[in-house]
Amino acid sequence: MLSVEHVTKRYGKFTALEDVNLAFEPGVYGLLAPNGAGKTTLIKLLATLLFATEGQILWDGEDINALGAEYRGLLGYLPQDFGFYPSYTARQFLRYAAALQCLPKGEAEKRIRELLDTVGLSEAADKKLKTFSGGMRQRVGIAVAMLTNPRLLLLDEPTAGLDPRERVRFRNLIHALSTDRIVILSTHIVSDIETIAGQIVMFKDHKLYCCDSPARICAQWKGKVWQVPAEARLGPEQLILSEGQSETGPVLRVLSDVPPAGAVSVVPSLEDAFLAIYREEGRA
Amino acid sequence: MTCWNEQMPAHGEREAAISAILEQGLAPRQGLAATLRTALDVRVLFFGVADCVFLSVLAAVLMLILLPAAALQMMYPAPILFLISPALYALLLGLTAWKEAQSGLLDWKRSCRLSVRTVTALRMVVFGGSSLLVWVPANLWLWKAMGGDLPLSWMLGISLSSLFLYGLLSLICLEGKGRGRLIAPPVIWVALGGLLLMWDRASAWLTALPGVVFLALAGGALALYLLELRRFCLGRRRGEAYAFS
Repeated sequence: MLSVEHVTKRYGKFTALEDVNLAFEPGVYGLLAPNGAGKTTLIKLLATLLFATEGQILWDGEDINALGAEYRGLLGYLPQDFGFYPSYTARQFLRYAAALQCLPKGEAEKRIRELLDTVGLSEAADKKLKTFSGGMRQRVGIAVAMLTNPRLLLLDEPTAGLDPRERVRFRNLIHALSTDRIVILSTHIVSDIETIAGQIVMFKDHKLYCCDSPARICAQWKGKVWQVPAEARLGPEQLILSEGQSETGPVLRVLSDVPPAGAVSVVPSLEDAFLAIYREEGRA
Repeated sequence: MTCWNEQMPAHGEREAAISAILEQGLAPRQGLAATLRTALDVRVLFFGVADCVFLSVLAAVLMLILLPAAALQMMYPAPILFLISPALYALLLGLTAWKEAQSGLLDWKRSCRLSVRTVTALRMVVFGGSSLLVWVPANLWLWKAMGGDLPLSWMLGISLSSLFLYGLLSLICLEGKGRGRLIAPPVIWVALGGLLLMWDRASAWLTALPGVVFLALAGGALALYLLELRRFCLGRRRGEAYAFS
């Protein structure tokens, strides 16, 4: 349905993405990588805000840039740092968005009512956006992106700046909206996607590292992640992934091919996999 | 090896078949006029920028009040007319574009079905038309205030050519990149106007030119402005025409 074919994006001498190949079918895809890895660049390429230096992006076999407004009509996009007009209400802003999407007035009103209900803002619909919390504004953003009932939904770091309660609410909302469409969500927060994404796309050194299910990504590290007490002595080849608490006190999760002394084998989580994959970048 | 003896279609038959396939396979795309009609909606054109329009009109009214006094004090009123005529247009365009850039919504708008270029182009037409509606009576008013010393056609010629040349300059600059594309037109215009104001010989030369020259210049600039506006709307300068529909 949506395919990225040998896409390279360069900004002058800097290569943001190199020879990326991906194929997207309906479902939730999480773009998971540290900041600066090229997630936003890929999202912007998919939103036709940037042009690929090399390669092409196809929707049902046709170049997305050649499809123009036709492609933009089936696209819902929530950019990072979505702005808003403080003096307008959520309903007024949605009406404006509907006009920019060329939706007929009657259809737009019906759709706006439905979406305000879906995102839980029916009661706040006629309040000014300046009175909204960050989470409420992001929900307005989702409603805006969903106006045309898009077949492709692009969400660029949608949970940045939200408190944990709003993050959970947002996650549930994305999950509910993901039926029969491609949802591509970029984030560097593992918990945002590990439960809702069917496929995780990771980039390393500006190249595609993997596109696989969370379970298969985690399985690659099976037998290599260990839990040890915080005071345990570790060798140079044993890498601390994270710190945590257990019933017996503070513990460390460690990446190692051989078990450290006193270690207990644990099931690798997506966060362990993420930290293991990007361990070199963390050290740099 | 298989030998094919099937008769190939004649040239005309083949072309007709290709045309029929293309006609069925390619969805008709919305033309420029249809797109502009869709965008010609007050909600689309002025949403979130009503304050900019109000401020620009207020500033233009103040300028119009001060204009006769300034013009009467000068030996040659041509430079002040040249400088001030695009002011309303420049304010409207500059302030709305600045607010759009600050809103944090530009990326999202660029992903919408109705392109930002189309909306900007339509705003330019509306702003240009409004400026025209303001400057024709303003010139009449100024002409009466000056006791009819200067030909009205000459004054109108300077005003309109200045307005359309500024419009053309702002369109060309808009095709550039970075913040400079918004700042460059007013800076260039003020520098040029300032030079004319300070340099008496240039003012005298401008005053000596017949009105018909300015009217012809205004006509030419308007034609170029409209042509350039169409190119801008279709994204032809940047080679994005193929993406327009």
